[in-house]
Amino acid sequence: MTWDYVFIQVANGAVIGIIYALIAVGVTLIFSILKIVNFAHGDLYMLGGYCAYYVITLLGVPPLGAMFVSMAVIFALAIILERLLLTPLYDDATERKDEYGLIVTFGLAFFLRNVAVMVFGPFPLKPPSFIPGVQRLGGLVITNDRLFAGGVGIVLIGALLWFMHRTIWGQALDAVSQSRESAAIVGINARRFNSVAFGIGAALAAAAGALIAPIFSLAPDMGVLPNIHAFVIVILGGMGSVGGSILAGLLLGEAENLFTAFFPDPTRALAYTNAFGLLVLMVVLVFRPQGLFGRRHLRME
Amino acid sequence: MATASAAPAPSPWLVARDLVAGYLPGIDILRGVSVEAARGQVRCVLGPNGTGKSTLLKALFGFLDLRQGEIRLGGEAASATSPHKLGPPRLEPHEMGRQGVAYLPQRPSLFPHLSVEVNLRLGAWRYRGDRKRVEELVARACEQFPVLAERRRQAAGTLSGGQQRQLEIARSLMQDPVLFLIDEPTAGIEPRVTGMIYDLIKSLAADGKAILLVDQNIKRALEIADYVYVMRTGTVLSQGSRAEFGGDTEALVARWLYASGDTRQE
Repeated sequence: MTWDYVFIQVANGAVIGIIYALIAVGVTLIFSILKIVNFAHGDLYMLGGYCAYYVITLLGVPPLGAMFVSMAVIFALAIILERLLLTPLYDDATERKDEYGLIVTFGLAFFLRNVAVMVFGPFPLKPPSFIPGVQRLGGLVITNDRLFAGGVGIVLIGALLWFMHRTIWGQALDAVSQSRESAAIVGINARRFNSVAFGIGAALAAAAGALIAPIFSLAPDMGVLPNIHAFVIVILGGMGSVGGSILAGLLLGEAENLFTAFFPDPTRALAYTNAFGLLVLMVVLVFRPQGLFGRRHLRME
Repeated sequence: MATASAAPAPSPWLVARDLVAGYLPGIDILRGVSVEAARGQVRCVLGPNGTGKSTLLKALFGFLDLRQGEIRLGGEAASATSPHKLGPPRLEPHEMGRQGVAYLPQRPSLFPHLSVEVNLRLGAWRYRGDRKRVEELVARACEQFPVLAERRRQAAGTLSGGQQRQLEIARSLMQDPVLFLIDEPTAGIEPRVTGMIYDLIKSLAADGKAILLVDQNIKRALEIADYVYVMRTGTVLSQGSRAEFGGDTEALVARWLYASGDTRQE
């Protein structure tokens, strides 16, 4: 093992971490507003990847444009799914909302995955590169697609943070997550934000799917692991903390790749990567049950 | 404050008739309550714990569905938007601000992780498209409440109890409401600043606002009240202007709150 290899793994870890973060902020956003964990999030990521693929291959749109088209399509699809499947969550008469959310999103995940097998076929598909070629820096070699995915991911996360902190709609979204009752008192229709949060979260997952497609190629079950990762990241980041889930995404990406780099038996390292991610989660939870960056609870009065 | 001060209007702005409401099926907390509120007046709802005073305010603001009864605001019925709900048709809570109703629940309704300034801006949510107007409203609030202006970048959750109440009132004024439904404004607040909060409520009434105040702090509430309702087990046991009750609060407490239930009067 050389230092170049370690640096490559660090760079790969950063790119993967950014992709993880893009998926996980959506789960966090949805959790903080709807109070459910969306276990179908990885499958929206999968659909986002396929959508971009078909927009590129059938309509001839350039890859970056296709990513934005895919975000818009999945945004709309997510709002339709939310309206169809999740409205019972907002009815006070519904008992066992947590269980309802769990079962419905799990069911949706299996449904989307199986529809994807039927419609897209079981074989991996690979869209064209965003930018073909590689960059070399000494012994460090990294593909342009990875750099591009990392860069666009950072821009999208930046745009989300700007939206959340600098626009009145983002602040209202934050307000609804803090108290639906108080939001109603100032005249905010909190129900509308259920759709907004679900749509934005899904659009970010779709972007992640479109960005990762030329790197790892598309498969109907590509959302299974990101579902688990997103859940790990959301807990690591402190449930409901957008900033926390971004940092936790990067941390998990780096931790997994460095583990792979330093694992004594390189032939087996990749197989243990996910187990290592869960190990990190368990160790963190033992010492910080509220997650790494959980919001300090400010109480009224 | 900004609105021109109006003489107490002859007709009440809020008229609620025979409200019946409750949380659990078959159990009514409010059992036919009628209250009114008029511009320029502080009307105070008193009564022992568990008589439904807070429930009354929740029902008036729409956080609790009515099983029976009618609410009229400014002469208009607070009418239907959700026909599928049981009970009389009515507005959703988030629509009440537009109708001129502000609600200050017992636990301050601020967004603790957002700054004082963002809390104020969110108070002007209905004007969100009109940047100039929102800026003017924020500037007005900062002028009225210098203590908030000093802390405008601070998270609302880090303010003291008294400051939080001021922020809540400042935020509710962003929509220029007519009626304030206020629940226990000084619960859990250091005694040193309670006087300031009652003065603030009194000044709202002097500006022509209608106040309906629910309070356990009978003595202080009666000092600013123009009209008093005494509630008991979900009904209004007795009501009258403060003059009718006489200035002697201790006698009032003894007579109306702790007398046996058969002292019901019109």
